[in-house]
Amino acid sequence: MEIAGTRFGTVHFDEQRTITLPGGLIGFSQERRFILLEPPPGGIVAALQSLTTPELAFPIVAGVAFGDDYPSPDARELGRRAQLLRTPEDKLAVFVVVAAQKPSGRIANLLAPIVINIDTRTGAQIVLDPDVYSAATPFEMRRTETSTAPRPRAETVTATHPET
Amino acid sequence: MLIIQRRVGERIVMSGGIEITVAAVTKRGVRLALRVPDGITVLRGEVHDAIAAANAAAASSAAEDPGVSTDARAEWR
Repeated sequence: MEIAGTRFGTVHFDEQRTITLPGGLIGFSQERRFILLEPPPGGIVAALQSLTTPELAFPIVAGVAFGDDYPSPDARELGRRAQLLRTPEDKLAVFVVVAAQKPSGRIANLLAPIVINIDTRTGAQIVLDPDVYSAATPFEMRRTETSTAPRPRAETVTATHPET
Repeated sequence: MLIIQRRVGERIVMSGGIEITVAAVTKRGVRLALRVPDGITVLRGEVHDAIAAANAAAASSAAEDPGVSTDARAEWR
């Protein structure tokens, strides 16, 4: 399959790998079908590309980049609460929506990570404790210069822990 | 918008198994008790709005963020 008109041009994808967020994203409740696009070479920012609105893509970074203790509660507990787990063995991935903030910074929405069951390709944006996490947490990002197969790695990001 | 007058202890029942009861009314505000099925998300309005704004900011910033780039992307497997 392919989707044209995205900010990345025409994107080819395997329909079997479509990700469904039945509840949509918060503020974007009609956006329920997505594909994951890989980070650019040397980068860590992947994209959650809407299949409903081609021009709509959400930059995301793997949750592991924000530390071993993120998120709290852990992904499995979040998956259980959101009823994402089909079996206890299902694998979950956590992503954080990030945005550029002028003039040169970035903010991460640590308050509401996207948790995806990799096995069922189903996920949800789950809201954590607003007294612990912020929707606009500043963070710094260093590009990996030598990686030829970039993947989000903890050492590529210095995340400012949320204000308490 | 639907407006319903309720007294303390009275409920509103919504489809999907959602019930909202007025638990108390004080000078500081109204305390609501909510009964919702598993899987239903309940957020304070300001929390919802902050997350929606963060999502919108992310979507609109992607095109101008060099860390995101608009180069062609392959599906992430």
